[in-house]
Amino acid sequence: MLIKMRVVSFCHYLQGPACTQYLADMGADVIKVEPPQGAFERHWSGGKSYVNGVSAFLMSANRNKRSLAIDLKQPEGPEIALRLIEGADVIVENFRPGVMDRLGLGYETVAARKPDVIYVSATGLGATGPARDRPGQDLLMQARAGLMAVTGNHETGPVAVGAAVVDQHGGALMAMGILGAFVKRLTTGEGTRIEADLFSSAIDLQTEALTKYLARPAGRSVLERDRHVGSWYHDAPYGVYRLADGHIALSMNDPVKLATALDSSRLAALNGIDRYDERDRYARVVAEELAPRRFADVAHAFDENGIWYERVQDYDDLSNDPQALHNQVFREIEVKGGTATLVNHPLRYDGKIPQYKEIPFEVGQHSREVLTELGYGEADIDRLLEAKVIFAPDGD
Amino acid sequence: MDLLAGTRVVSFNHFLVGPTGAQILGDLGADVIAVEPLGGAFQRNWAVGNQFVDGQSVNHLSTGRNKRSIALDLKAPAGLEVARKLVQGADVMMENFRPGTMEKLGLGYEDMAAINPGIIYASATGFGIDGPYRDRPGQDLLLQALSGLAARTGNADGPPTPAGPTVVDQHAAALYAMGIMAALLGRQKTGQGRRVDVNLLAAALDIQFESLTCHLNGGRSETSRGPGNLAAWFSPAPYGIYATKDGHVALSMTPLEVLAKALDLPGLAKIPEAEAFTRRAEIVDQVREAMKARETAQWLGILQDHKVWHAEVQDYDAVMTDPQVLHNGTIQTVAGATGVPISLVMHPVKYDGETPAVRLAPQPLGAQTREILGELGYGEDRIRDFEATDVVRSHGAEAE
Repeated sequence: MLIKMRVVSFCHYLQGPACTQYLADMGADVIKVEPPQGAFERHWSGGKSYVNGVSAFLMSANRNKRSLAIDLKQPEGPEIALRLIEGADVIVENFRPGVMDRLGLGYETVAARKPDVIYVSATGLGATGPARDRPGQDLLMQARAGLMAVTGNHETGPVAVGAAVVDQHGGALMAMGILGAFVKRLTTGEGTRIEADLFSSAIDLQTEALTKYLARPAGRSVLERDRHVGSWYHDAPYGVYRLADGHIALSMNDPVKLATALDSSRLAALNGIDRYDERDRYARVVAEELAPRRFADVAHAFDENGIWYERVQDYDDLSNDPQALHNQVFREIEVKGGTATLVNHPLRYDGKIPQYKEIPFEVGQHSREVLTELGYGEADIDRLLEAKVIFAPDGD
Repeated sequence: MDLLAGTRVVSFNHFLVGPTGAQILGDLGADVIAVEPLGGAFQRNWAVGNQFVDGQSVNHLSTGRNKRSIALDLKAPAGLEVARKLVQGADVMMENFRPGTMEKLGLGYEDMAAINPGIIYASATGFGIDGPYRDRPGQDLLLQALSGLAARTGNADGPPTPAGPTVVDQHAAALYAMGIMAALLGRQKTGQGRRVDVNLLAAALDIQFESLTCHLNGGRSETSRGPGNLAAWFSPAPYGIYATKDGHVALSMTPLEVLAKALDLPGLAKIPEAEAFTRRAEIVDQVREAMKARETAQWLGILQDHKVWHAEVQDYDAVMTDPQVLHNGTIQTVAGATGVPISLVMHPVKYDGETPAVRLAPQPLGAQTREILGELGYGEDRIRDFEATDVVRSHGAEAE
């Protein structure tokens, strides 16, 4: 148990659940408040991946949490939520701006009941401003923030990063802000209102590239490059090249060493050129040199010469990668008699990966337990279930 | 910003991940002391695209704010003594050297915990502090290649494509800061310090955890990258980027019925929503043809009216002047340490409505060497002696 913190999470999709999962992994007691039909992530899963009916999307970001299902539109719903918040440290929500206010759970209301609350709102583009009502979704933020424009090359046009990197990074940024605010609360007793948004996350991912661009905005032409060059702001050969039997990534490398490793007089002849200004020319020669060769031969020569490279691996390679296995980045869990595989918490504390407790496979799996902790009696809980204010799995 | 006021961090970091992680803590109010070699940390002397602003590397500008700088020779016995004193009085020590380097210098975890049992000792490495790849170079592009991110980005007919910016580094930096703050909170109970380890491999996987969890649990597509215009291997149509007459528009998750009306493609409405994944190649072909017919500005109006989730694909020039970027204050121009204005991407989260301020612009090498040595109790004579014998370097000392 790393931290003692109770978090009430009104989150759906990915960014908010990812945030609270980081905290849950660290030991926080996270209560996931869901609508009667369950959060969005229970009913959607990329590539139609379900294990015994449980969505992989749900499993990716909701471990170590408890589920409480409440109908917040019933008159008694928000009052239960407020009682829950009173005994908690942090409330996290990622509804569109204004929704929590309408539910009677807006910042002002909550702060009046609990002045030292850490109240966290995650929005798409910001809580205020000209675009506050636009949908904030990973792909759209990749588009708006320039991430697509600088991925790919002039042959492909803009390319989206093939994973929800903006959501995931956004979740980490929120968790980071909450931990900072919690340090302050323990020191001073004061709460903090935290606002995070996906648009800022998409920009934050590009801090290095953008700072370079801001120093000398050079228009579209600087972004365009040969298809092998992986970024618009690095010297060649930085990029991905085809081999006879796969692809290889070359990072920042000394051109003399590279020419030696490839035993290439054509590359050696280019040693003196500016590999930023003439990146396309250099990259094309590297591409021609690498195309007929096999990975094992190239890797051997590169290791001998201290070249920075990696083979381009796909997910099946990754599942068998010796370092990934050594680091125990995957974890198998039981799901209703079947087996699912999760990606573990990314950090180690004193050499250990945080423990896995459970995933709430059912909507409202912990409704009774949580209400009992809030002081509701058995009869009250039965009445609230009967009146469809709270929900629990059948037979619970 | 006062969230971490009173917390002292000693940062032995270079390149990108480490300095960025330390900058986050500085943004939140910690007193971050960047310990650099006499010649300055790597990111002062090297810049992407060889871009410097009034002699300052953009890599230093993007990672150096809200820190004090001390230039110290750790290989000199007196320099090592200064470093140990710094750690003795600190809450957090951060380092991102190759595994084993700090131990060789006498600044490894065991040694530091012996002089300061409460120290949070945080290491960022490429692949982990041990294991078969521990000595490999860990750099953003290489981790994109190894982790499947490149293999899963781009088009099924094209090659694996890395994300243009250093997204793995940037995510690792946020995780680094996050883990350190969790450990600070854990220390409140016990007073005991802790070791925190982050590595780029873990960050590269973590940033794909939705996609990976889907793959690991039965999610499959015929190709590693989506067919046609699709943005992700695991997405149903139309999720992707489409060329218009004069630009590009991204279409997010949208019911086919809605899309059919917006794009005037009645055929699409006949495809059941449940088949938006299995028949995605066919759907994407139709959407691509339709989107080519109009200019972006026209599409934006039509898509808005039909409530299709969409966004224009913006270039950096458009991002810089985006009204919401301006409103949020995401990018700000401030006075740099040399007096010349510098433009920075600010801390991405707001606290009580405020973006953490730039208390200290990225500082020149050794700008606070004297100040910090003074705080450690070294007298003026000793400091001059350190300077004369190249144990430390102070900014502007030669000019005095």
